Amino acid sequence: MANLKAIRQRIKSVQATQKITRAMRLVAAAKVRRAQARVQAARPFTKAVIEMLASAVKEISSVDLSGLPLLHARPVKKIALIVLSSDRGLCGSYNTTVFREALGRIQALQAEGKEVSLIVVGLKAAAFFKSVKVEKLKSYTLLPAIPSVQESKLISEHASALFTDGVVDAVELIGTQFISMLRSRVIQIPYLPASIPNLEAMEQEEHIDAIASEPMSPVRLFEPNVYEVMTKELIPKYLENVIYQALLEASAAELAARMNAMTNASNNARDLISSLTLVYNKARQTGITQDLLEIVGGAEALRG
Amino acid sequence: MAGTLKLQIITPDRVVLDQEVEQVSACAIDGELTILPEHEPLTTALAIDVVRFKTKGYESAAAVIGGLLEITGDRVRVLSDSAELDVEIDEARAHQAKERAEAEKTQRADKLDVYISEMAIARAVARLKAAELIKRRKHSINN
Repeated sequence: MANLKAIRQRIKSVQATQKITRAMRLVAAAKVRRAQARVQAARPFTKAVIEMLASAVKEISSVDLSGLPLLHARPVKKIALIVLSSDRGLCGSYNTTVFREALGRIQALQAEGKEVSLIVVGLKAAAFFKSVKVEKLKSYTLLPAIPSVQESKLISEHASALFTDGVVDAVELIGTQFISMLRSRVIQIPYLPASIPNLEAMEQEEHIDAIASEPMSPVRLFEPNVYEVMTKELIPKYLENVIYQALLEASAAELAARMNAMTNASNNARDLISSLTLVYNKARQTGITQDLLEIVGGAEALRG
Repeated sequence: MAGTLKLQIITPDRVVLDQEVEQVSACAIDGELTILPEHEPLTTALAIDVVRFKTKGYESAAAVIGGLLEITGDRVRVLSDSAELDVEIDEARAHQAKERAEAEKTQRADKLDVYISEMAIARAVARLKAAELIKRRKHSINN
């Protein structure tokens, strides 16, 4: 029964695959929980940076902001997109949705007559954009699985340098935002020139404490001076943190996408096994019936 | 002594400390400062050093790798890329890091590399200093 043997082998191979996808699902599930915890853990810092930046900006009125190049908007001719993707595949449509969005944005910007260049994060994006005729300024691949402040620093420093050196006039970030285990969303955020975070909008969304603005409160001191603090510490920290947050969100979204993809794969394997088992049993039954018919036929022939 | 300060040390990974304290001493990039309750609002950049704070007359320290310090009312917030409380510091590791960085520094010719090594040394020294402070404190209690 060659056919039976072939089916048996297929069932076995599907079972082996199912074992792998199940294991990967479990691993992703465990990791996504930790990634979520990291996103949570990063919130207090984000909140504090934004509050400090906002209070500093408040202190020096918007007239004085011209001394801070990273906040200074200029006519946009050249724009860089930072695209966040994963290093590894097997995570469903996670990367493809990001790429589709990025391509759409590139085309839209090119239609407006702007020069677009890319900073890609993740092997998948590096591979995908190889075939796209757009200048790649830099690619960051094989970052550690757990995004750390160091990488965010590298990326934000690079982007800031490009911006201040006039290589690009604006930087945008395209990444994935983690909403829930089942849902994530591709987001585009303008990165540079740094927009001063809008505290009022933030308050509604994230419950950031309003900064006490009593008219009698003493003027805040900045040591050594406000520009130094802003340019050397506050703004870089803020920009770093935007990237860090985006990397964390993206890694959580990637793991969630992988978990879902692996759940689907495990379910498919299960369905496949059950339908193959049915075919196998049918074939086996046909074989037995055939054998019986032959025996009965033989006996009849002998008797006759 | 009137009132207390709320000291928060926050890094991107976690909230290292959130505690009521009586006094905070920190090293800003242009000198050391000590903060008591009702200090006026101040924002300053921190050096890679130790932040010391007193709770009920008992002094503890945290190694803070650069960052910012902000005083608003009775709240002191320290934002840093990396910070550790004295009890969390792995002294042996910091020692090794220091030796490694010093060895590297002598071999490097490039200015940037020397700078990187110097930063690594500063980080290790800050951690060791915090660890040293906790040891000295234990010692004084024992005597």
